Amino acid sequence: MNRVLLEVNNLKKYFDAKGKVLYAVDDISFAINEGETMGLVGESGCGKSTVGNVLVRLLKATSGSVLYNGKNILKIKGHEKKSLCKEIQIIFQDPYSSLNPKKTVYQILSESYKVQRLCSRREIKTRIEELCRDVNLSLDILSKYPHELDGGKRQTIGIARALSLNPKLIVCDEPVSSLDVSIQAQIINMMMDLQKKKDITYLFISHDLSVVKHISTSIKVMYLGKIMEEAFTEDLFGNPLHPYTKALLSAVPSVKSSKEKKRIVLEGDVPSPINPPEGCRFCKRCWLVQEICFKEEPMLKESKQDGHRVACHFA
Amino acid sequence: MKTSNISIKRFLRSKFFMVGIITALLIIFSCVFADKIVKYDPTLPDFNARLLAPEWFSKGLHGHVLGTDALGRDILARLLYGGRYSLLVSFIAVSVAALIGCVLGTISGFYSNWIDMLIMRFGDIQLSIPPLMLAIAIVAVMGPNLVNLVIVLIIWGWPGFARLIRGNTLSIRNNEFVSASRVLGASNISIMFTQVFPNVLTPTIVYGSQALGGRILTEAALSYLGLGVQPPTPSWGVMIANGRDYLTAAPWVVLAPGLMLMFTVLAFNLLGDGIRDVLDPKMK
Amino acid sequence: MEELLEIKDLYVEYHTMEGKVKALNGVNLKIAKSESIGLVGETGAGKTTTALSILGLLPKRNSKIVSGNIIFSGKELTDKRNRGFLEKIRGNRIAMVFQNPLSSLNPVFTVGEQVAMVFRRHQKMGKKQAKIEAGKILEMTGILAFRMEDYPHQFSGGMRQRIGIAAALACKPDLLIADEPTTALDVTIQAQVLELMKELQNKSKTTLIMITHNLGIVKELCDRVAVMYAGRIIEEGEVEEVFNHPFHPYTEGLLGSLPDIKKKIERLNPIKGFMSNPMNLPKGCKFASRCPYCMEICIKEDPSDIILNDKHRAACFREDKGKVS
Repeated sequence: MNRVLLEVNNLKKYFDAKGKVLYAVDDISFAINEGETMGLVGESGCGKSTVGNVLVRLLKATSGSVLYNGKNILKIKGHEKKSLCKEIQIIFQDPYSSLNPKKTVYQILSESYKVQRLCSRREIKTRIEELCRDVNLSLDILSKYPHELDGGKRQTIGIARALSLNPKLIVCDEPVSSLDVSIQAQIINMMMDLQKKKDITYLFISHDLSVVKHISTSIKVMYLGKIMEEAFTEDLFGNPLHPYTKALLSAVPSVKSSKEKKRIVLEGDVPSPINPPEGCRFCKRCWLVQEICFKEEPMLKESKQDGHRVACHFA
Repeated sequence: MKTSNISIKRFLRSKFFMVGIITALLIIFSCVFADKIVKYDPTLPDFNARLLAPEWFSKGLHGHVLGTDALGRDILARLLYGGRYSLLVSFIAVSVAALIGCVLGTISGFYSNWIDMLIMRFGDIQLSIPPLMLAIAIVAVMGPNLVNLVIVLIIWGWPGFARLIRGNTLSIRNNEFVSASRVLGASNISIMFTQVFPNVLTPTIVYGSQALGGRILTEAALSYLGLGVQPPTPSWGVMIANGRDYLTAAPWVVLAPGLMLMFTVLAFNLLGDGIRDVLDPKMK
Repeated sequence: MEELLEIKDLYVEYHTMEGKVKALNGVNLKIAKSESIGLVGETGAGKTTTALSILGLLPKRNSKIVSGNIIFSGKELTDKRNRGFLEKIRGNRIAMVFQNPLSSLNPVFTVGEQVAMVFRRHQKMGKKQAKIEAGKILEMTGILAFRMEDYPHQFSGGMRQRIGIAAALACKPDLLIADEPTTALDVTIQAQVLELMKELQNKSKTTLIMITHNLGIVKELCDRVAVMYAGRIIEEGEVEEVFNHPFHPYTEGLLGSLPDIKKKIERLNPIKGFMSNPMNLPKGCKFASRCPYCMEICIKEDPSDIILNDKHRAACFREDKGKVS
């Protein structure tokens, strides 16, 4: 068993929405092991992107702690905070807004070295060339501007930028969702190769279950700010226990499905995290719902399988 | 901060830009090289040649091409030498206002908290004072001269830039590349000026070229009222003021600076439009 | 089966500041009544252009139907003399559902009004009756009657899309074109919309063209599939047939490169390279530079359609390796 790289304890992030409170992330805890790819899935409003943003400190947590190498990274400041940027990085979803349109690729990639004052100008050039080799980019791309490149190349540059500081953990916030289908495969393969080569741990956030299934070793399913179910990938897809997970899996169209496939269709809409229901978050759309679901919130409890936990009164 | 990713060809293709820049350059060069073009002294009166009509038709380039004013001074000479002041004052005023506006606007848009409120309200207050009153106030306290004129124009001009830059900054700072810089460890100041600023440069240039036209007009108006450039130093506003009494008898005295003013402002406005058309319509 | 729509050798170009974009390069497609066909391909393949061409909605200023025919119910839609006919059938006999449910609804009209408008314009109904019909069809798509007086911004994305579908189906169109209707929606909402479309199809037997890049949706919803690449349909046939026995290397590549929730693959097989620039398409087969089976003839000549069997055709020089039955 690999050692724990990052430990999240009782993390909460609430937003102020014109007087009301938006419960984006509402008390979640998990641990990421070194070398693994942890998938975080859910639909809009579930809080998965918020988790990612809190981990890289783009957002301030409302409460809770995140331990990296024993230190709570939510409380550090100054030099330590800047230093942490070398350990935890992020890849963004949108390949169009994640690169500065007025800078060349070289300038974009050299920023990390300049900001962290890692090396001299000459060394920067060598390091960038190495980076390009790692991500299979030809060197003539360095003098180009983002708008001259297509989505796949831009996202590759975003990945190169995340790699430049040799981080141990990379938060991937929907990295392939904005890409064309044929490019997704190239990027996914590259990310998996890089993981092996550079010994990186990924937190892979996505709404696309097919992609998550392919790349993750373990998965957590989020709904309205809470974790509903967590398991190793094979377990989750082979034996989903939570009704929401079942509905989610049944909703995804597949080339292997038949036309007569009976699908679980959830009633109603994905709810807003401004007014989450009391009791189980999923009670309003669940077909197994009973009275207890409206009153008592189910806690994550172990199931018969190793590492498989589910938050449901009836699973 | 390169904008060299826009090809020169597109600039050459824009009619607005070409007309604007050629006219503007013509005006600027003729004012800069005024002494090579006219041989008359713009401030020396010649009482034998008062209010002479334009002699372009009779004497060509040898006489007073555009006539003389009430004190016998050659109008073309005053136009070109005066242009130096009008243009210089406006360029400096716009440049400094742009600089102040950019810095304050970027800070304002980036932080979007009490700093933002402070800067914007301050700008609002300044904008609500008509430039005329501002000019009178400053001149009354510090005396009428070129420097004070520039100060008035800067004070009146910076809020416009600040507001524009602030708006652009607000929309840019939500882009993921700003977040990316933050996650790399960059400080706010570094992000503001190395990441955000290059992106607001384009609208600044466009606005600036149009502001030039406006500033030239404002300078003319203030000088006309005696609050700016003082006689005998020529400036287009002063020339119009001087020629006011002779509007019916010798209309060329007012017409020449008036038309010059019009063409200059038009040139810069066209230039601004041209730049905007080339740089703005979604090149990205 | 009776033929409803035929597209013959359609060539469409866009004129942009940077040059001519060859959006469609000889599209051939026949659709029979009550059929549902999936039009798949990547961005830039020409799917939306095909849909807009059928409806006569290509931007007038900078696009041109260079040549080809679009025959709907026997009438040639590209013929200028039939413009009146085209305007009558648009929204009426041919309806379209767009990808972005937010921008295809008018924000200043209530939802009920917008659907009623369709009835008033095309079926010349009176105000009262149109309102009743609108209510009925909205209920059918899952929008409750009391919400008719609400504005589009008060609905979620999935519901807006259902409203869009209601408006499209209001006149019981012969042909419904859906352009990526579920791409912007959450997975469980997508499921709702897909089930709705399935149900409507079964009930009213509307002919459907489903434009999507999601092969799973095509499998569940469509009888036939047409794969587009660089402005052309390079493979077409019954869904089972094409997915189980893909002939064109692009189709093969597509099936092999997509992660699928039901498949267990160790490593994805991406198609190498990128789609050619539509302003600078190569001579010969447009897929040649990315094709693992590329032969000399592929670079010189553009392959025409080979009929593999009565349910399957493809445009490729490859020899029929007897994979198809």
